[in-house]
Order: sequence, then structure tokens, then C-alpha cells
Amino acid sequence: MGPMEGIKVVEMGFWVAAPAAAAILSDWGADVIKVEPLTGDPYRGFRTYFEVTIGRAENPPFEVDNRGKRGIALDYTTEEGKAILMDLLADADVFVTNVRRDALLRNGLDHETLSKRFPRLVYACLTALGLEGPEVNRPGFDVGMFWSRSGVAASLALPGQHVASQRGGMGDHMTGVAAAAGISAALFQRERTGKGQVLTTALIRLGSYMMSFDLACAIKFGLETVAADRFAPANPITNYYMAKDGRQFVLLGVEPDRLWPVMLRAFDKPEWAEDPRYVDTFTRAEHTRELVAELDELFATRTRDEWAARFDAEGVWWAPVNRVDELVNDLQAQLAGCFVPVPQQDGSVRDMPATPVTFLDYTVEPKLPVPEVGQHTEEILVELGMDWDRIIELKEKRVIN
Amino acid sequence: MGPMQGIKVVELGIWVAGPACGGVLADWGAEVVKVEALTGDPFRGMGSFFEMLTGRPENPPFEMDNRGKRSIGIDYSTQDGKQVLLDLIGGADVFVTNLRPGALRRAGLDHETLTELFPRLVYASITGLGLEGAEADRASYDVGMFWSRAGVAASLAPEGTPIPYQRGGMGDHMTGLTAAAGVAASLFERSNTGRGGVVTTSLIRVGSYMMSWDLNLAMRFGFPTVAIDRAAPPNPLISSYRCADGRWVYLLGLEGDRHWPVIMGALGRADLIGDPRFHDTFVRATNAAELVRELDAILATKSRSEWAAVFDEHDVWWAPVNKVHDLVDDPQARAAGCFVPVPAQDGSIVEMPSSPVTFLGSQHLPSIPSPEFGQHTEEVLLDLGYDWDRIIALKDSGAVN
Repeated sequence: MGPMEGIKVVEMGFWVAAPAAAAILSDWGADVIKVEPLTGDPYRGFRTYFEVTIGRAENPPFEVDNRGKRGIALDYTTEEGKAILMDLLADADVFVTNVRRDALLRNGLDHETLSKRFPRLVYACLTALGLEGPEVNRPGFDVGMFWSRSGVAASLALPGQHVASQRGGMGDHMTGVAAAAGISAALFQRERTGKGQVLTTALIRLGSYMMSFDLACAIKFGLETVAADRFAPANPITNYYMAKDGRQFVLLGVEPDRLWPVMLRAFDKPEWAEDPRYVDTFTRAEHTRELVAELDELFATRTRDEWAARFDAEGVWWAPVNRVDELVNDLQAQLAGCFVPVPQQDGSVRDMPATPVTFLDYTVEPKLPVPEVGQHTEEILVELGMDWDRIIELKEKRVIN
Repeated sequence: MGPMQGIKVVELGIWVAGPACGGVLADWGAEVVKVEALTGDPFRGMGSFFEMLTGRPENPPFEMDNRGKRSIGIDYSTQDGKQVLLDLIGGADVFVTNLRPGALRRAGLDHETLTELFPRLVYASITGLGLEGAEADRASYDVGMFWSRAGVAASLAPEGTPIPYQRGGMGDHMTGLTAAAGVAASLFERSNTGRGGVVTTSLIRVGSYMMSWDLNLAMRFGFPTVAIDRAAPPNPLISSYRCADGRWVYLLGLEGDRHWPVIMGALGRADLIGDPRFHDTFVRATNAAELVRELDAILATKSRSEWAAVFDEHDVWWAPVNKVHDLVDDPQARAAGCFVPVPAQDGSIVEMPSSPVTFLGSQHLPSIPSPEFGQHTEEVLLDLGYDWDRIIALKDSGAVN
């Protein structure tokens, strides 16, 4: 039994962040209803993209964040549609949304209104830039407010170079984790106080927290964050190198004085122990460019597997630099729980990326496939006690799908 | 009063991920005792690095993750020291650790032992690579197992370009947050079942979840994850562009067909809207390099603040590409709650980066500064009911500091 067993979640989410939060809760055993407008979550549109580009009408990114949910489609801008949403909320423990503040206010779904109406409700509000301030309604996206505005991207790019493009959903997924954390804490508190509450997180909050090491230095010392250059890093033994076969790895000499002698054995370079340029952290920093050049030359003499064997034999700390797709065949990633079996619409089961927490006395196993738009509209309305005449009437009026 | 008010946490953490988890729980009102070996958390050692760099013996990254905690120094390799630690854990709700599984087993602090001794305990285990498998004890660090091994770094570096250097603590903070989510969910579950349990996450899990969009594409379609080349991205409307003053903007035209006419209108190039090379998503992808050249030339004609005004007037979605320190003066970052006031040892109040969730119904501010090593040893032991004779004996024997 998952920690969220018996908890009812209503998600009104678009794209990634709020759906990710609800998917985590679903993985943890909650009963999640995804509310979509009749046109569906725009994130579904990627299916067309994959259909056109590779001939497969599937949408793997969407599926990661929406498995295990039931779907209802309704037009909450109509009075009747909104009434259904209110009935759903009256029965729910948690409401999760990343709809923009102005749209929530317009539809009377803002946290002030709903938390007054449903005092036991935990209302999780995921935003780009918070709930207050002049830019509160600015459209977000993680690549904008997490990656770009929070300084993540610029702190990775060398001076004069353009920033790297964020991969899909990086900031959104972490924002989903933050929301799931907040929701869990608020549910825990509700056990003791009997009251729900509003909690909020934002893309910019995740970006600034992820960069808090540098941000703390900026606040205290006024230090500017300058990306490290792999050809001349402050600590050349925590750095990225390429082996003979073109595969890369990172040396983890984070505690350098302890690890340098170990590395010299694996590198078969005993003479460097006496080299005044490399004798300690400070001299290595001073001669970093020379040392990186020597190491580049050295590592080009063997394959990564050969280096790996030497590193492991001597106790050098290191990690492979993988492409994402290389994780699929990484046995340790499997053992660490990076994958989870998910049922499909056709009854088969296939592995997907897992959400990032394991409870040892509970095995995460999503019970439901990814819903089609409004796949469970009728089922959910019947559960709410609506009769079939009314359901048909609402369908004909295009209030529901 | 935060949602974790009254919850006692014992943290046996080093560097960032374990302490970040304890730090988030402290921000939420938990009473956190940081247990340090007599040599102190090695993260404290960065203080001398910052002293060299700035002439100030301060350690903002350490302070940020350890504010609001009390510290006790214990040599838990001694029998007396271990008894102190067990007494502390026995009185706690949560135990958080990111020591390696092997070290915990050797010390008798593994999850099997502690959950058997303390059935109500929530045991949060943070690892590099999970609790099982041949590599479970491999020395990690976020730059290794999150950034490099989970594929984050390689997915940002186009073929033939160097891997970007991870900034300090990026993966660790995300992992600490994830662990806090699991702890909160477990505490919620405990309030219903009366039983604690083990919750675990790892650097590789958080990295693979952050990359789950690409990971599921790799798993489903066998797509290798290839970093986007800025000169020819799949959608040039969601990419970075340099303005006349050298500052960058990130355009957020994710829904390309919706944003294309708006963007081109704002840029004063409505003539290109119907251009057969660019008029829809698919031809823009095919002719991306050409379009990027056009956009580069246009964006280079005005400064970023000039473009910002134009974009906002035309409802073009965009974000500034900031450096981390730009956040300090960003009023919207402030309104979003990116900073939190924290008392310092000298009684003054300093600002630090906040953790990423705000509870509107139970606000809590850090009430004590980041502790000196073992600053609260006596106080914590007195709280446990130890008398002064016993405390002095423990100090004399070197079991505590």
C-alpha cells in the first residue's frame, strides 16, 4: 500500500510540471483525476509530431507524466462544467494546478476562493514566477524561468559562448517533485490540524534552489558565477576527460590531497608525485592547463573500459559520462530503481522512467495506462452520482466530452 | 508554525544531499540535529577556500544547507558514542543519511538494523546509486552520478564540444528535495499506520527522472539523446538569441504555429510569416539554420531592454538569460520567495536562498543560524536527559566533542 493510498487528487495541469506532481502522487498510491479542457492537454500535441516525423502515433514524454491517472474532459468556463469541477473538488483531498493566475481568477478557481470553499483541501499552486509581483502572469516554461532566468544555463556556458538548450522538462520535473513534497507535508499537517492549506512552488524557485550554492555566494560575497573551463578548471582532477574510444568520464577528485596519490598509481605516473607543478591542490590549480593537457594525452592511450578497470582496481573515484539513452542498459540504474513497469492501453506492460523515490515496503506499480482525453468522463460522473440522462445532456451541450 | 513543527530529525549527512534534505525539513519547522563525526562535515572545509578567495572565513553554501539546525559532534565508532547516537535516533521521528551503505552497515546504522530497533522511525536513505548491486558503495557526488552518469551533461553538449562543468550542488539539492518529499509522504503514512519505514532516493534516480522526457524517448523509440545545435535547433522559436548589447534572450515559442505570427510581427518582419521556408512547424525545422540566421540578424539590432519592451507589448513569450547573481536584484525573484531571512551567529539577519516550497497556511522562518561544529553538543545531550557527570565523561573519553 502506497503512502498516498486513499488520497484523491484532482489535477488541472498542462504540459509537464503539474502533471508530473500528480503522477508522483499517483505512483505513491493516490487516486488521480486529470481534468482537461475538451481540446485536451496541449502536451498531447506531441503525438502528432512523432506521427509525422517517425510514423508512430505515440507520445512517450506525455506518458511518463500521465500514467496511472483517470481522465475527464470538461469545459470549466461554462457554469455546468465548473459545477462538475466543484463536485470533484468537494470529494478531493488535493488540487494541483499550473494554470496561470489570471486564468484561475477568471474562472473562480484561484486558491483564495477554493480554500475558503473547501477548508480541508490541500491546494498546490505551481507557477512560473510566484503568486505575487508585477510579472505574475508572465508565461513560463521551464526553459524560460528555470533554465534561463534563474541562471542555470548561463552558469554552464563559458564566457562568450551561447548557452546550451535545455532538454525537455528538466525544470518542470523538479518543480513537480517540489510540489509533491509540499503536498505530502501539507497532508501530514492536516492530519494534526484538520485543515488543508495552500502551498506553492515556482520554476524560478527550483532554478534558484538548484543554483543555491552559487546564489549563496552571490548574496554574501557578490561573487559572479563564471562557468568553469574544462581546459583550465580550478581542480583539474575533478574534470571531464575522453578516452581513446571517444567515450568520456569524469574524475571525482573532490578531496584532492587524499585522491591524488591514488590516481597516480592508476595513471602509472609515479614521477608526478615529485613534480613541483603538481605536488598539491594549489600548485595543480596554478598549472591546471598543463596538467589537463597531459591528462588528455594520457587518457587518449586507452579505452574507457581499460581506464575503468584501472580506476576501480586502485580506488580512483570516477563516473562515466553517459548519453541518456545509455542509461537504458545500465544495470546499476535498473537496480537503483530508475525504471518502472506501466500497463498499456492494449493490456501489455512496458518499462518507463520511474519517479525518484522508493518506499521499501511498497512497490510502485502504476495500475492504469495513460488515459485518452476524457477516457473516464462517464465513469467519474457516474461515481459522482450523476444519472445518464444528465450525462448525455451535458455531452450534447459540449460541456463534457 | 511549519508543517513539520514538532518533528524531530537526526541527520547524519556530509556535503550536500543529506544536509539539504535536513535543511528543507528544518525550513518546514522540524527540529533538526546535525550529527557530525569529530572531524566535522567535510563541507565545512570549503570555508578555507572561500577565505583564500575573499579574505572572509565564511562558507555561504554550507550555511545555506545547515541553517536552522543544531550540531552535535559524536565519535560513533566508539561504543559510548554510538549509544549517544542511538539515544538520539530513538527519540526522533526521522533519520536522514547520505553516508555510503557499506559505511552505515559497518557502523550498525543501516536501515535494516535501525528500523527494527525503532519501528516508528522514518529512515531516509540518500545514495549515489541505490541500495543494491555491485556498485552500491561506489563513491559518488552529484557531478558523477547525477550529472555525468545519468546523462544530464552529455545531453547539453553538442557533438565535439566539451561537457559543461556542473556547478556546485545542483544534483545534490534536487536529491535532498526529493528525499524530503519521501520523508513527508512517509510521515503522512505513519500518521495513519503508526509505522515508520525506509524511503530512499539516489543521485542517479534524480538525474534519470530529470531526463525522463528523453529517457522515455530512448526506451520507446531507441532515440539517442543528441544535444541541440543552436545553429539549427528543431524549433528555432524556442532558443536563445543575442541582442545588440551582448545580453541574451530565450524565446519561448514552444507552440510554434501559435507563436510564429506573433513573434514575426513583434520583430517587424511580418513579411516572413507566409514565407514557404518558414510558414509551419515542419518547414521551420527543415530550414532551421536559415531561420536562425535571419533571427540572429534581427535580434542583433536592439538591446535586450529594447526587445523586452517590444516583446511584452506584442505578447511574445520570452525570458532573459540571466547569470545567477542577476537574481539577487530581480524583484520578481524576490516576490516569488527565492530568498529567506536567516539569523547569523552574531545576531544579525542575513538573506539566503530559500528552499523551493512556500506554505501559505503555515509559514516558518529559520530561527537559528548555521551551527558551528558541535555547537550544541551539551544542549542536545541535556535534552536527552543526560546529566553533567555523564556528559563530562563522554567528553573526556572523546565520544563527543
